Amino acid sequence: MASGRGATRVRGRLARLYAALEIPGDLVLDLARVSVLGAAQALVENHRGLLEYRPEAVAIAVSGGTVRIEGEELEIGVVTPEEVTVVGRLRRIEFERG
Amino acid sequence: MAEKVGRWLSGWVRVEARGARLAELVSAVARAGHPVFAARAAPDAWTFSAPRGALPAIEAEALRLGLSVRVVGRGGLPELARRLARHPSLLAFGLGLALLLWLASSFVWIVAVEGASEVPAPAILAAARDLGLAPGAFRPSLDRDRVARLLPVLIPRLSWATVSLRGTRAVIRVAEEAEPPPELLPASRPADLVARRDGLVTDVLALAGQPAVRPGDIVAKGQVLVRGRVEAVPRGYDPADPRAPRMTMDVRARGEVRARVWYHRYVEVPARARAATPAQGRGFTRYRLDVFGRSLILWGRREPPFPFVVSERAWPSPTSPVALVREDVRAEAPPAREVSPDEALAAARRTAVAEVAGGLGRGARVVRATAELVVRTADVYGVAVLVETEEDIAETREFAPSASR
Repeated sequence: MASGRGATRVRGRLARLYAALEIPGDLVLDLARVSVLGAAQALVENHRGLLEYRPEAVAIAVSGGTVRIEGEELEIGVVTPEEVTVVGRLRRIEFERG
Repeated sequence: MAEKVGRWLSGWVRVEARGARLAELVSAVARAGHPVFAARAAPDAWTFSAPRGALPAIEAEALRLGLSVRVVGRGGLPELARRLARHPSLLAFGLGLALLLWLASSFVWIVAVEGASEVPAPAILAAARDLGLAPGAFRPSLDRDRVARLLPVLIPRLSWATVSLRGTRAVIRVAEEAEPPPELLPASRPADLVARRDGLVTDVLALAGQPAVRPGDIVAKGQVLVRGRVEAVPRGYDPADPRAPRMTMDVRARGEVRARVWYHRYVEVPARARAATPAQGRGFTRYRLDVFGRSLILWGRREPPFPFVVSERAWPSPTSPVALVREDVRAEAPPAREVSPDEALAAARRTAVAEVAGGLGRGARVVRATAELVVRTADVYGVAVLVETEEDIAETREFAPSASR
């Protein structure tokens, strides 16, 4: 547990350092990038797999947690090793620390 | 878009999966390098699509995760080919359709003219048709360079032409010969206006220089009409007084001298001609496929509603067992008949007027034309035509400022 907390602390410091140097975090910290196109499409890059999929909700594992997308008539557009595209009527996107 | 085309080319399968760990299945398949797309969740099952080659990986992962999967659909080019292979007639139809499309795109369907303002576009299109460029021309056998090279020869008022092909549309772009604008002449040198032709002066307008002729004068070619060397008397002297001091000044004469001009033409008219018929000039092109002695009209009317003659061109050759034949169907010429002297005079008048009018400059007009029969043989009428025009006959002729005149 302590080692996990230590790793989180190190990551937090690195994140502040990269932010100060204006280096994109998704490149060096393995962070997910979520892009939203209106309320119709969400693109999650750098994911770690699909956790849940229902027409009302999609959960996608990413580094440091889960991206949860809620809405109506949700469909998975494409799943590749790099990205997941979710289309439908999007209502809410939230990040759950895991 | 490219991804969708790639998926269609490589083929895809639609899979229905049932079980508890469906998300893991999709993630595992994606991790294995196979994109999963168009996934839809239902209460008890998921359906999703994946490349055709991903099916073994899907089945293996489903087995590992304890899921049941079944293929509920297939699509893409491999599937289409498989279906066509099961129906030879459908395959033949598809191939025939593709062949037809290819054939249709191998011909020129539209010919357009750009850049012509003085020369009528129909005249350019007619000349291009004579050179082989017309709707229906087979693109591979079209010699564009030859058409572009010979168009200015057939129509001398064109200085150059180019032919470009955009799909099934051919565009003839032309440039017309322009008369050199007067302002391009060196305006600083003094000059007279002289007569370009013999004529009877009807109007003189001198914008610069001194008129040397008046309306009613008969002038010969080369005669000075407006002088560029102007004589003047100093202020306070009477110009009519011969003792008044004279001074000369050289200018570049400008103006317009209109005159009646007569052109003599001799025109020969054939004594026999073919009567115009409603079908004259009508025609169309049709395409035929010859297969082992049997013919199939691919495009074009079967029977024209007029007597006709046909000229054919075949690819690859007329003797091939399978050949595409282009037929140019034209109305048959009516029988020849005798031309009356009045008709010959009228035809000669039209020919002469058209010839003279073609060489006239801007603002000129044909006033009248009279024709007289001078020769009559069994084959031809010889007609002398006098065409009277009214036109500006002035042209600039420079002279040296220091020359004694």
